[in-house]
Amino acid sequence: MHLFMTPRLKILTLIAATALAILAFLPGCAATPTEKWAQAQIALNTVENALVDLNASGVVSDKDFRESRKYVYPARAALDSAAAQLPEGGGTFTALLADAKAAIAEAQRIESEALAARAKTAARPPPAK
Amino acid sequence: MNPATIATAITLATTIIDGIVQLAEASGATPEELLDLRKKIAERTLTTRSRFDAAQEDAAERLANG
Repeated sequence: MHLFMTPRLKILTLIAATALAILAFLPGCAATPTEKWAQAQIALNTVENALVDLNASGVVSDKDFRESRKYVYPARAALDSAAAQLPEGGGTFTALLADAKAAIAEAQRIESEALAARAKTAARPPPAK
Repeated sequence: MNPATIATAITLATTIIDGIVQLAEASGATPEELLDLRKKIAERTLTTRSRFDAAQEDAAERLANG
């Protein structure tokens, strides 16, 4: 990580990167429809918590945080509808899960871009006196 | 590092670790155990959604107040 990142940013970036890495790995571990749904719901919960915390700490602006609901709310709706298809799963379930994952990815993008922007700002050398 | 940062890190780490544990427990689980997994996740989801929604209202109010 960049030398100019604050300790707080390092922690938040590390956690976000870990979450993304783990969630990318998990598809190999999820077999049943319930497990696939659980994975997606956990991913969405992680993103929602991250956005709240990053907004509270000023990394994600209020404007971007409000923007994230365009993705979070549809992801919630898709996962709630997908849950109604459990435990059997099926074509509708698969489509709903795909919609949810696409929306979650967009919400994660807001998180990642905010962290990257903050890291870039922190990396700028202080103005010469 | 201030307490708020530590709390943030713990919240995020807990969410991730809980998720991994729950999925590990689900591997080879019986239908009853999978139902229990869904219930556990539903409880966590409810808390998360309430927190997110409350924060959204606060953000909207801050933006409205300029």
